[in-house]
Amino acid sequence: MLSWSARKTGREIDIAAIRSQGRDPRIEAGRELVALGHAATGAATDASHVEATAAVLGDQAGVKAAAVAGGFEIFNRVVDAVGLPVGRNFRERMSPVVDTLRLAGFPHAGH
Amino acid sequence: MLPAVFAFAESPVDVPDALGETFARTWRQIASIGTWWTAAERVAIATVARRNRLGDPYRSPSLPEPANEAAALLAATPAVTTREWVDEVVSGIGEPRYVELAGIVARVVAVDTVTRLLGGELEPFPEPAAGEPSQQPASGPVRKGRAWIGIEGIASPPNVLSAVPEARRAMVDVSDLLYMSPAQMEDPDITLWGLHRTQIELVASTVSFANECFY
Repeated sequence: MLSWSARKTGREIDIAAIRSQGRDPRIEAGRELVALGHAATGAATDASHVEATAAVLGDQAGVKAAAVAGGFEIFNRVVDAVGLPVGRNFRERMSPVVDTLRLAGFPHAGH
Repeated sequence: MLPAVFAFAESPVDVPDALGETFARTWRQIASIGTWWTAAERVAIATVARRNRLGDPYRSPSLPEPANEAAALLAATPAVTTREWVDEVVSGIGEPRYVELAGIVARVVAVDTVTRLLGGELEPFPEPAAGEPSQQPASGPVRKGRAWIGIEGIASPPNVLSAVPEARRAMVDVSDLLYMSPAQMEDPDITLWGLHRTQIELVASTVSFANECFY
């Protein structure tokens, strides 16, 4: 969905920044959003990442970034709980992303 | 008027009332009588999920061991599930109970994650309601296809808990707000609460990457 929305809206995003946090995703507040996403899944999360995002994009965007992180804590768990398979067409479209982020080693990559 | 819980009074940013209201509703739903679990068992599942997500290998004495195992693993390391592991858990507690459990775990982790990101203290779970599970079946045929668990209707992320209708409804109630509704998903240029779709997807992709979720 990231590649799709970027392509549809004429934006160029460096998705490799998701894996390598030193890189610039080339989107406003991209570094802050990537840092927030990684922090969300850790055990020692605090408000610093929302504050950093809000400092660039405003309070509401900071809250929404936290909310989206929570939303994907849901989706990640339910799809892995039921073993939802990735369809062939979706897998083909994802191929560049799989290579860039080196996702082939993920536990469910073959499913 | 904010609800008594999830007021986010200590948050460094202004939090829309809708978030606290939705989380309060989620908490009440978790502590309600379930389709296949009692309310007390649902709160026990929520407690196992919360503590294991934070690195505490707690098990509840009031849950069967397969339920403890499932709640702990889905909370802490969801990507390591396998068909064999799911089959073993399901052989112990049954498929509908596993589906309902997965929905509770996912929502607890989500609400706790957002609460911590907003600088709040983890909200205690409500007192569980009394009563027996409804055992309401799915409203249509449930098929596995290539998934490990049966799904009613389209095999898509918002629908994966559809074998237990109340579990699906409860998940969508909170995920529609946290991420976006199906109608909003159609718009690649949408901005929600000041965050453009590409920025939303950057966060979503990063969380999925960090959770090693291939889907």
